[in-house]
Amino acid sequence: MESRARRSYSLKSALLLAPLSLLTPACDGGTDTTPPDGEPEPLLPMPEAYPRPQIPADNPLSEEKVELGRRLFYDTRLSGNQTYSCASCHDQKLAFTDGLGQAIGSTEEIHPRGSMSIVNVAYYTTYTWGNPLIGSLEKQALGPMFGETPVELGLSGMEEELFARLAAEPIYADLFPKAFPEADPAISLDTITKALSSFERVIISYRAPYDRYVYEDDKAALSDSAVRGMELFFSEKMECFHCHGTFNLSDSITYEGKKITEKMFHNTGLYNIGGTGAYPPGNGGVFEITGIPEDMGRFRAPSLRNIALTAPYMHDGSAATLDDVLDHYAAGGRTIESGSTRGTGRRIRSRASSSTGLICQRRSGPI
Amino acid sequence: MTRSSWLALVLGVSMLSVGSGCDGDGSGTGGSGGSGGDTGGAGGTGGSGGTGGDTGGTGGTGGSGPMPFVINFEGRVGDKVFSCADTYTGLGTSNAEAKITDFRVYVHDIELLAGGEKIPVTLEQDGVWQYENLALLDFESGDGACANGTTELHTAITGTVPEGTGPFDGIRFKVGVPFELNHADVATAPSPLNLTGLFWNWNGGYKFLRVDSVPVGAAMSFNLHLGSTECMDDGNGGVSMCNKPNRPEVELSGTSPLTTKILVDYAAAVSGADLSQNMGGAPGCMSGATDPECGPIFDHLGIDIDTGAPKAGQTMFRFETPN
Repeated sequence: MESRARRSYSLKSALLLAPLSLLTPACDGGTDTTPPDGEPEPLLPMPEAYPRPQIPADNPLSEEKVELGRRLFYDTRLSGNQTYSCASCHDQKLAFTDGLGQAIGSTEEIHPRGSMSIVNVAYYTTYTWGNPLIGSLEKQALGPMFGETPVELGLSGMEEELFARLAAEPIYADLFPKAFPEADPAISLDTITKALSSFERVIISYRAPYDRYVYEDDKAALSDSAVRGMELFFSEKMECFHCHGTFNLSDSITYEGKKITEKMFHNTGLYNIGGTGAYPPGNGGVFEITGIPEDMGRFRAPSLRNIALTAPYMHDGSAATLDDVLDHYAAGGRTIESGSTRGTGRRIRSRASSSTGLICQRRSGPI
Repeated sequence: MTRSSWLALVLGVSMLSVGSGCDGDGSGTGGSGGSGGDTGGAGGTGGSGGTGGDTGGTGGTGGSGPMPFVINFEGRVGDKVFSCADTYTGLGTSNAEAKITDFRVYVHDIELLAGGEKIPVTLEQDGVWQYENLALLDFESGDGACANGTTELHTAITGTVPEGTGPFDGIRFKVGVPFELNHADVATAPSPLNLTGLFWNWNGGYKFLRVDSVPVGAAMSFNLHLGSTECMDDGNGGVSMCNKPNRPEVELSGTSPLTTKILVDYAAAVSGADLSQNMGGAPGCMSGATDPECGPIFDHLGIDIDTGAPKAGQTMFRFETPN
């Protein structure tokens, strides 16, 4: 009976995930997806028309992996000093961010960049703010765990201790073999990162008012001003959708049926220190990885889902509000008048005479 | 079958003769070579094998078969043997005083030199420190200042050379992890590629060389992390190439590496750098091409910092010379 109790618990958690991932006030509508008695809730319960994520062949989704990954995600054993879990920086109530411009790691080291939302993270072709080499969640998970510049979870060199901590917890002694019946040993970097990735892959936003409007033909889901904002957003006049298009309101995504992989990064003119094109040292986006001068300042466009919850904005939190963000794009680049990052990032003439419609869209909270 | 178990099987045929193949307390004198079968180890040259092996193994003279070798390395800080417990003085251009918190380095493609001839070696596949043509040298003992290190040490590389080669008068090897191994999946990598302290996630691959120091009075630690940089995505979840491979090539000659220890000297590597301050880039040198601390260090490691290619002039590795 013990295993039955655990199963129903895991079902409950899967059910919880879907509505919580909406993170909007109007999530009571939509299709009732409560399964008939005895049938498990699908792990990916999005409507037919909504794209489904590609799941890696070597890590198929399972309820057991999702449940294990969920527990690991919230477990402070996953930091060197056992003070931090993944959720410390990816808090569900802030759309899995932390409200900070620059994250603070388990040893209080300040990260050059902000915590990214993990909503719809299953769809990206690259991970973190600007790293073309990290193409899977499994690989990404190793960064916060073992990275040292900066320290995030601070587990570098402590893998054996981590395995021992997990093995000592009876829930894991049970869950790891269930989730990975073939794995020997059951607790390894491979299984930990696969479980975490499985949990992250089912954190999907698919029933926001915007989705109901687009995918469920619910024309009442958006207000008139929000529709006006949406039209501007997807217009050549404002051009927001060039980087924040698709169902995910981002680029660099893939999904079932997509055959060609796109990995895009953009320099939006946030910095141009001294007119050299430079971004602040150590925070130059893809340049930090490739060393190619043209890659300076190129970052991946994040999804705008739940955007009202994820302030402050940009990779370094340097835009405090959505109005600041819109001002930046309306000006065609940011001008910093003084200080060590002084310079004007404006390189393109703005075609936007007004961002009013966009702000309306934001204020009406459709996404 | 996994790649590693396949390799172990294939290599087992030729490698069982080294060390563990004859782990009985054989008191035989062990001839050179001998005939090893699939399941039996052959007595090695001067080894402890002989007739006592579990599954047989006939020591013989003049038989064909690979000859085992041992090459000893020693972590050094100038003329002192490295220890996690000690504080070292006179480091770099500011004569810094520092404790050292890690000291590990990967090497691969070892060749022994014999009168101008280069003899490739086959490393013992010990399942821990040596994998394919790669070995990790680990001089830190996980105690003292090296809290994030490992207790285990590995200072001797073992393997075989073809029968009839030698005597040897030098050695060549490369520092780092070979490209094919460097960018494979670390989460499933075999030992010694599964040590998270040597992962280099943000750049893909591994830290080829890791020596971290904590200079007395400095604002931050001085980390020496060597690895490939400026790596390019292959569009398929991997890495197609790295513009700066940063794999030094070491050649030492004049004596036999089988009888003379090779010293790995941190003080020599940082002799041109100022450990007391960070003039830019990462704290210390993490292989950044524009990091001011990396220039003089790369000179002593034998790397052209502009191209990442090996160049002459490395001083970190040398043969021990008699006092």
